[in-house]
Amino acid sequence: MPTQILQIAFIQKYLCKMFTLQTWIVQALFIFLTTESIGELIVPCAHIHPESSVVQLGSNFTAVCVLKEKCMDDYHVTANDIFWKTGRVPVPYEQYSVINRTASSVTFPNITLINALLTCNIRMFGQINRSVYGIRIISGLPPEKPKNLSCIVNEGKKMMCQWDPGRETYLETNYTLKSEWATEKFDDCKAKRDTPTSCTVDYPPVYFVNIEVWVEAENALGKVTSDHINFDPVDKVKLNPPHILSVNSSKELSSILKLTWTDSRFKSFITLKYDIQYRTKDASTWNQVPPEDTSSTRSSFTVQDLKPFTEYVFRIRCMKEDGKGYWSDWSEEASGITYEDRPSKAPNFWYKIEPSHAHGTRSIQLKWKTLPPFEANGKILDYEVTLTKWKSHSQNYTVKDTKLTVNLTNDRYVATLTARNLVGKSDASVLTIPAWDFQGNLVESKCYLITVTPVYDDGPGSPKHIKAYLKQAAPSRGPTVRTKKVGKNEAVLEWDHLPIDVQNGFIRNYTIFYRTVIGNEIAVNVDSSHTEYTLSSLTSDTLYMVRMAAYTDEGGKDGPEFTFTTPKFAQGEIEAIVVPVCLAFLLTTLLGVLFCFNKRDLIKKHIWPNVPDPSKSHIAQWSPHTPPRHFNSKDQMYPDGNFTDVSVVEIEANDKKPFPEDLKSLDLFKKEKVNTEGHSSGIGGSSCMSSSRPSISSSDENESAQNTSSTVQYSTVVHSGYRHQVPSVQVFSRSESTQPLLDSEERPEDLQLVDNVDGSDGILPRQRYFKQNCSQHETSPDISHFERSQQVSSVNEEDFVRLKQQQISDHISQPYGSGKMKMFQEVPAVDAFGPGIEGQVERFETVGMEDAVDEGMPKSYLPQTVRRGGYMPQ
Amino acid sequence: MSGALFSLSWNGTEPAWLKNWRIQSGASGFRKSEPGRSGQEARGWGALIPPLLFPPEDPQADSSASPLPHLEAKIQQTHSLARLLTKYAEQLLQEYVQHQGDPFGLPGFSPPRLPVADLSDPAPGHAGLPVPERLRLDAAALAALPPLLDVVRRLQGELNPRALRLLRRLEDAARQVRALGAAVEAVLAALGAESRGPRPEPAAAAVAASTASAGVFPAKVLGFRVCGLYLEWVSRTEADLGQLAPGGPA
Repeated sequence: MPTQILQIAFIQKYLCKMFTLQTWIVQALFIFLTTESIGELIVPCAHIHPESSVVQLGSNFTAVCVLKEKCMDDYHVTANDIFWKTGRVPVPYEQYSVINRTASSVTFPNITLINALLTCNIRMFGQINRSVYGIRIISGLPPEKPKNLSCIVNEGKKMMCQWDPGRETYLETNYTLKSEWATEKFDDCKAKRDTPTSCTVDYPPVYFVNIEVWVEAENALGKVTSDHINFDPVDKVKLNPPHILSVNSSKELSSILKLTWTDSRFKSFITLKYDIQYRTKDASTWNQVPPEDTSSTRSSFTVQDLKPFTEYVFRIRCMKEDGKGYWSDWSEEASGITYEDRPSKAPNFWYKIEPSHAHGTRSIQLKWKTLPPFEANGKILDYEVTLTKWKSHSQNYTVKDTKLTVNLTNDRYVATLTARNLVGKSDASVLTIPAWDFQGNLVESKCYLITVTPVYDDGPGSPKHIKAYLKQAAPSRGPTVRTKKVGKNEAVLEWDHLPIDVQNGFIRNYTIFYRTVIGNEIAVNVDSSHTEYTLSSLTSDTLYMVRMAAYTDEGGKDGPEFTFTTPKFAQGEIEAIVVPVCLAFLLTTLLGVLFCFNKRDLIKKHIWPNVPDPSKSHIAQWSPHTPPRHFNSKDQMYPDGNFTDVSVVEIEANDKKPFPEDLKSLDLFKKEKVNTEGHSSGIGGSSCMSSSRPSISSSDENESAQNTSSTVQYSTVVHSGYRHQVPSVQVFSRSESTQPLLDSEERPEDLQLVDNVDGSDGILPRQRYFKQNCSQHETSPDISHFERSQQVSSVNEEDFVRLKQQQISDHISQPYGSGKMKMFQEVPAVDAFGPGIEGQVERFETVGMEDAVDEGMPKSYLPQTVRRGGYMPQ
Repeated sequence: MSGALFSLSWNGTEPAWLKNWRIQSGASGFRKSEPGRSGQEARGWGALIPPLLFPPEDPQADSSASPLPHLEAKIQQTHSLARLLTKYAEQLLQEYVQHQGDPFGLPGFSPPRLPVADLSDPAPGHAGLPVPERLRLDAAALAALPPLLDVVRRLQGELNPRALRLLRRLEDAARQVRALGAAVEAVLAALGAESRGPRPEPAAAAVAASTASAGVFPAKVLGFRVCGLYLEWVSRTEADLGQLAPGGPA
């Protein structure tokens, strides 16, 4: 047993500071207290699980104490006899839980900051308590991700990185700085315990090679890695400060000092910029040289705008020109003195008359003060005094002292004084020494300048001046006022100050009087310091009379009257009215033009519809014998097949051939089909129902057809031919009918499509039919058009009529442009209109057949040509 | 990218190779390697260059930037590194000579330029080669130098164990020359002139063994030779990169 004690004491002596081992020591101590020796082995009486005792703050912690069977037998205890202590404080029984006969657990919910000994104890017979095992519980937090990792490379030293470790962990946390190149890794840099937020690497930095750096933080509760940063060490460098070699002045310029320095050796590899500061020797604040003047590598700089003969102190620092990295420390301060300049001010001086016994002369002592350094601008070598008697030669004296005593006559003298330094002389101070018999002869109304100069033992002080009148009077004349600027409702008046010799006193104020021809006079007081005043609230286009009086303490005097007229309009007012109106007018006009341009078709329809001119009709050329090639003429008529518009004539209720008559014509048509073909007064494709349908006229060339909303006169072709009979004499007469034109006449695309019948027979039969909307020749030789007509008629005669109406309404609702025409051609009519059109399609096909049938006989009812501007005769 | 691309004419603002490169690439910016993209399409310039060696910091901001500033910056950085290492190499050679005793420190001492395994002298005949080709040779030489410098350091560790600064310089030199070699390779990759395949294993161990067994003087001569070659190759690399760097020679 003593051996065991020695062992434990030994361990405790050398490892007591190490936390983990400390826990073991504590455990060992308890083991010693409650173990049985079995030979050389030490067997603890119980164990606590877990052995790890670091707990995260805020978590629940449960420890289980398991008794050994031997102990239980020896001490006659079970798990029920276990109780827990933290330190010396028993844990409440509510936190216990007896798991089985040998094990008891204790739970600490939401554990707080703790660093305590948790012991498992047993209560033996006789209320004897004994600790059987113990662990140390330490609570803490896992490390947070280190943030704000940054590195600095002090020139000539190794790289140091620092970071923000985040929250307190309450645990021993190790921070390791890791770094690597693309080509190799560097040794880890472990932060010291006393500086856990920074680490200086062991290797020298290599500039111009990017390095990647990051930090790992680790404690008993976890490990976390910071973000990696990747940089070129040269961008993190803090250079050594420059060393100022000299501060030199210039004889030529007393306001400059030239600073020269030596830089870091690094400047041969990178461009530097500098920060130069200076101050006078006694000042505490630094002046800054503009950074833009020192933004490149250099070894000297001339500081300007300095005071002459003044000592300045300089310091300088540098960094990489691109701003990456850190400013170096400030250099050691160096000072220099600017060169001298001539004194900037003449010294003040005065005279003192000393009593003299000699008749006719007097002793005058001239005294002055030394210039302060900022005015002396150098070392004053001597003073030069000049005394000049009235209209006589002058006497010069050079004095090193600050006083001069001379014997003068009783005459009036003018004395001048200049100070001289190495560079030059100051301006001269002038002093008049009055004659001995000088007596005051002051007069009234004259302004006198009274100067009082204090004279101290060491010389004169600063003189003070004041103006004074013996007695004031009213001014001799008043000020002359004039206008500076005249506006619609205001006028700016200006005047000059009165000359001193007419003021006769101190001008205290001015009064401005102004009036209109018929109005009352208005007076305005103005301070005497002003030379300008603005009259406001004036009436426009009015003549004003204004005068001004100046007042001293003794009275005033009016000046001459001045007249001016306010303008009717303010400046720019006319322009402000006219310009917007013009702009509005232009805008309105432009919008109107645009509107008319956009709606030109509509306007044209309403204002000048395109009415076919019967006089230009060429029906005279029509002959019933002409073969049906007449449609080819449409190629010339509409060479490009482009139609800009189609209008439908509105059918009036009292039309001679209203819509319902379509049915009649349909009947007629059917009858014709039954009997024979070609009985129609119509021409070409529009022959079928032409007699009873509204007319649609085709327009000139590509010009859109116009809607003839009113009835128009047009000609009707009357011919005596019928069917295949050729009239011997073709009779044409102009009809006086007011019947509207048929829509088929106004739908040139119909005609064009009919053209296609000839040109590409059988290619677009459905389209042709749809466009033509009347019976055409069927090209199929199998079925006669009569039969087809009958089939269609018998199947869906009502549908056909409805379709006709629908077509007309479609024409009304949407004019067909060329684009739409094209679209229509591309869309199969059957698909577009559904099954109801089928019959019509078939009917159209019969027309083709009719053409075939009529091939060998005269087509007396078909026109040969359709002329421009004409119309399709019914 | 052909050698003609790297003609060295200088028009006052930028080298012709840069202009040509600008034209060929369309200056369309770096295309970052995207997951799922492969082959030529995904191999933009950016994909060819190890990201670590590029001016780093905000990869997001680089996505739309022109690759040219990156390439120029990379060349500039590598050129600066070569200049720095040239200076370091001069210092190393001086320090090496100081520690070898006579006759190394004597004026006029010029040991024979014995051939060194894996590393030849920069040949004057290389002057006529295009810059990328010269850079390939530079990269190969720089790759061969670190093991040789390690050998010299080991030999000097035995011959001059107290010359700690020399030993440290030799160790640093090996590391630095590796970095320079990698940087040159990256520049070549960025220019589309990949260096030639894997290099043979250096025979540095054999050199060390044979030299150590030959005696002290051959060991010193070997070190002198290696330090000299180190200086010559980094100096030549500096010159070659200087021709690529903006503001380089005409």
